[in-house]
Amino acid sequence: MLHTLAVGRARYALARSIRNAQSSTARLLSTTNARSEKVEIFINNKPVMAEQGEAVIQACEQAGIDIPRFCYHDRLAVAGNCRMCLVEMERSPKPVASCAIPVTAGLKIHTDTPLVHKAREGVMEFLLANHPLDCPICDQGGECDLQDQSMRYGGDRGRFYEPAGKRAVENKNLGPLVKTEMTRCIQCTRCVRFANEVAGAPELGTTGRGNDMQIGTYVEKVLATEMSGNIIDLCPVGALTSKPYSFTARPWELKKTESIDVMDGIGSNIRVDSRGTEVMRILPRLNEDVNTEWISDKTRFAYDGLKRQRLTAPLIRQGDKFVPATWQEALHAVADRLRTTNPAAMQAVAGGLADAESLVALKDLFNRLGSENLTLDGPRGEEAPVLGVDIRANYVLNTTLAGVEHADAVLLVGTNPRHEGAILNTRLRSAYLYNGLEVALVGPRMDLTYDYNHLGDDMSAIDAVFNKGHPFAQKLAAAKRPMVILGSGVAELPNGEYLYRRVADLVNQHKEKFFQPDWNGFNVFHRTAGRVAAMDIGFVPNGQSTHQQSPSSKFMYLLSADDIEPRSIPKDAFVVYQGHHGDVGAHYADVILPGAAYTEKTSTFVNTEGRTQMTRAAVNPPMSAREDWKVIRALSEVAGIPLPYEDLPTLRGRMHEISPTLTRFDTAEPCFFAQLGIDQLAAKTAGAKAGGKSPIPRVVTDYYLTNPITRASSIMAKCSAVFTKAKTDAEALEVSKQAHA
Amino acid sequence: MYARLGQILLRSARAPLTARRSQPAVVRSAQAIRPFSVSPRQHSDKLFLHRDTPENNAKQTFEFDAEYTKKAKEIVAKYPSQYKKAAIIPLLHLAQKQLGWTSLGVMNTVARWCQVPPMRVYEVATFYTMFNRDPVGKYFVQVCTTTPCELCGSTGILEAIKSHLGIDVGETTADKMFTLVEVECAGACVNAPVLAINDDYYEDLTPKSVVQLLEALKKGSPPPPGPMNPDRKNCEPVGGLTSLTTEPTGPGFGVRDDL
Amino acid sequence: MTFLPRAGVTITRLTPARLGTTLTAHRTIATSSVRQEQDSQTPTATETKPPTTQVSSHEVVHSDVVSGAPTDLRARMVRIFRAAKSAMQSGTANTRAWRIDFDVLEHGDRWENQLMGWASSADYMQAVRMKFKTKESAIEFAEKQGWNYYVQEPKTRAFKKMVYGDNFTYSPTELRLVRTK
Repeated sequence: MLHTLAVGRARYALARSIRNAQSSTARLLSTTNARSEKVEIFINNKPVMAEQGEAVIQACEQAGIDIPRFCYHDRLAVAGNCRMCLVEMERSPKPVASCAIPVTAGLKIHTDTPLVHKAREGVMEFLLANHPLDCPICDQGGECDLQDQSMRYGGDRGRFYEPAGKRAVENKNLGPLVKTEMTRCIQCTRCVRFANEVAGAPELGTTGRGNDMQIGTYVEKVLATEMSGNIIDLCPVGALTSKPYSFTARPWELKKTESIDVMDGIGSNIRVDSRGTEVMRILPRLNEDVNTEWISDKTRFAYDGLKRQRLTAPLIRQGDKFVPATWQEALHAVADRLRTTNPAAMQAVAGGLADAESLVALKDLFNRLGSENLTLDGPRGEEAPVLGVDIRANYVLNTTLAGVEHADAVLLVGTNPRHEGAILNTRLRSAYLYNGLEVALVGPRMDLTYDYNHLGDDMSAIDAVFNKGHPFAQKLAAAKRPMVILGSGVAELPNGEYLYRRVADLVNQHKEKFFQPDWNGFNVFHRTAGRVAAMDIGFVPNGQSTHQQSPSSKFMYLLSADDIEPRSIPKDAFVVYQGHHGDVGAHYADVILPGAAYTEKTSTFVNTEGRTQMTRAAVNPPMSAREDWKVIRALSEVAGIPLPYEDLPTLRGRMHEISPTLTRFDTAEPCFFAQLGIDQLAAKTAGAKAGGKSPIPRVVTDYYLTNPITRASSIMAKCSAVFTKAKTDAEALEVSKQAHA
Repeated sequence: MYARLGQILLRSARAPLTARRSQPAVVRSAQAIRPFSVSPRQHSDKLFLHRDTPENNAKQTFEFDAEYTKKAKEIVAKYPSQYKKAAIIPLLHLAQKQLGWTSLGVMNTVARWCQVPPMRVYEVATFYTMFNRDPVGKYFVQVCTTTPCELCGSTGILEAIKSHLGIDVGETTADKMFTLVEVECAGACVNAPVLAINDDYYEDLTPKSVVQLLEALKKGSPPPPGPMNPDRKNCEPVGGLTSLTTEPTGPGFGVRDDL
Repeated sequence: MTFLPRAGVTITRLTPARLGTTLTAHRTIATSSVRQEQDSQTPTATETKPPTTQVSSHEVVHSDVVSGAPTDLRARMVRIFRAAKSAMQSGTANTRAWRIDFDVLEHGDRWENQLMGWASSADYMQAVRMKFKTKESAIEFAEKQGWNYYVQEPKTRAFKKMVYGDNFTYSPTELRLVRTK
């Protein structure tokens, strides 16, 4: 009977999710001015309605006509320097670059005339004149725009006969991620525009002129930005390729799996390219609501951590050694303890990489055993969260990632968005550049790639926003769409309540602006992928636990909990670690149950906006490792209290029962009762004191090493040495050279 | 040229610049070569990358002195405050005037003045050939070798300078007095051949007079700029006027009587 | 991503968890009419149009009963999707067709040849990629075969007017971006 009920609910959940997928677009903000005048133009003698002023190449694209291009990119400024997009325009004596010509009424464009063909062939010939014929040893081979377009539009014979050979350009050292082969460069300057506009790394540019022009940094230095991997994608030729991926695979050998990233709270949409049992690389996937089409370097390059330090078989501690065991033995060892331990002395700890399915299963298991002691890893993870989990608006990024670009004033509290979720930082930078965003920061000073008003290092610095004479306070008062972003680190501060109190005050002071029908400016920014789901599920301490002061648990279940504080694990506790890497948490374990990493399971993650997304397994978990929820399900069976779900659809039905948002995939549900949440927060934190002048510590000390996967990755270790640990540009360069000597 | 082709056929690894200078002393089996003609590739004689040297590195900073600071401020004041970047070229020019060349320190300082990332200044400085990114001698000899000067014998002028100073194009004499470069049209074709020394033009040169000029410079007594031909003051014809020798016609010349 | 159960006949699900324990098989029943009923009960006002992922209205003829396909397949999940554009290239080939592929099996069905490094698999469906002109035809096919499926809607690009002249627009206020080529 229970089964049928659960199944029925699953159906219900699924039906809801269908409907919500439809309404997801309803809450997109639109603040661009509505000057979208449509005019009629003619493309290949066919009338087409296009927006006045848009580029002709866009109009052609909308009409379904492919225009070849190298330099034009939808998200970068128009450069118009590759000349590949030449089309014929009536009454123009020459072919024109369609990326640089705005649409005007009555424009007559031809894209398929002998003139256009000849123009493209000519451009191609010029580009190829200095492009080496090294496709067989080029990593871009098989997914190269130049290769494809020369096949499609180029001439069928060459006229190149230059005894002096082709141009040769010195390779640049941009660090451990981007490999350069500058002789292949066709100077489209996509990388330069990306670095300058999106990544905020203006040190990349073009030097010289004419035939000698080259891309580089002029003064040799590494490209220190956490978005650098995207220039590999942008490069239409093989000039910029991935160093870690170099010469490992060809694109046609790879199995492409569209999935979700878990390296930070953003939940970037990715494509996992795998061959056989191995993940070969990770690429971004377009999602306008989340990551547009960029991903951070950690997302892209941490994959080699999936091959190292893996837990491949259940392990049982014997003395100071771990001994491999069968699942049967391991699960019985755990189940025996589960049955004999007093529920009051049991504790489950969820880490940042735990997926929603396993969180639900573990919570159900503990609840069935009579324990409510569910905690989170990290400092203060055993206390009930101050923000509370009753009102969802209190713990998600309500503005949404896409909404950030419409903000005009933001107060960052105890967070470094650049290191806690680089995509959010690019969104903030975009708002700063194009929307006049004013930024202020309470917390340690750092380079955010945009200017900000640093209010101070310590907690009391936030008081400045209440001082009417303060420039930022005035900007905030004048803002139409203000935002406040509370970092996840604030919850871990010993006196973090004070910041919450002041933020609640601030929101209340400007409540008509923070809470508008299409705008919620109160944001909590999580830096791990599993945290919002844990809060949605209620996998948080309820404040009644007795373990807060002196840990006294006899049985601890660490679910991917690797940021755990060693002192919170009592010496005599029986510790079970379930996860995929032998990292911090596993060291304290008595029994280790190997789980699957995010590329190996189909599981649900909720990003910091509260957007539910699903990963998809690209490869199998290694050896005996199993999907996490199945491990817990099996454990429940062995322990004699089987959980009522045996497959994913029924488990998702259970998830829907707990929180309907968990099965509404791809949507970030707008949160209601935001004002009530703030009132609750204000009441809860009333009277909180700043507690000294000590500076707020950095939440992420090393961007490249934040979770077990990254800590197992040698690429991330190199990045850390070059970009984080090196003190000067020269040292970074030196380390980078040694790493690849 | 044949020598060069020979080298290529023999898979010689000599650099193109060296190859270009070698004389066609011996013609090697020209019949074996496919008939075609190429023009030598003109590579820039400058590197578009920065290499640290003792005199040119990020630690060697540059500041405008009092007089130049005043001028720089005047230049920057010409532009809207948010478009200080418009002053990049004038400031680079000014700094080059003060230091004699455009060091990395100069570019960094100009970037600071213009409130742009340094790379934006490097881009400009490497684009324009008149910013010398390497130190130059006291006298920066810029010989024009574009067509009108070439027709009037600039090759001879260049050879004379080379042999007199013992340096090649792009090089500086050991005493740091002279740097020789070839430039494109100096815009004084009327008095070709012409060369510029720092900001002064010396025109109407002969291989003999250019050596005299260099000698005078060495002694520290440069002649006044202008034509080096004693028969000419400005750009008038040497042997007197060849046209416009009669009185100009008055008003109404050539107009119908009835008008 | 939309998660759809297969509609229609009774499915016998195989036990998914093989972790040293034995789980009993059970049967589930689902029909599309049940789902539609639940749809109408959902209490959100923003609903404007019926879901486009609706299963085609005509009766689906189930071929899995007679096709002789292994019964294992019915317990497996397939995904109906349109491939995302590769980030590495500007071309949009391969993104127009709707496809069906199978979720990977969890355990032991892949290995690498020790000598050559070739990838092998015991999962006979792992390389199957089917193309369809429309989503509906893909759904219909999956239903006909009796597969569990879910539909992943493609992500579309938001339109932003690209103007070459923006490189040169005058900014009356502080310049926040120093543009370059």
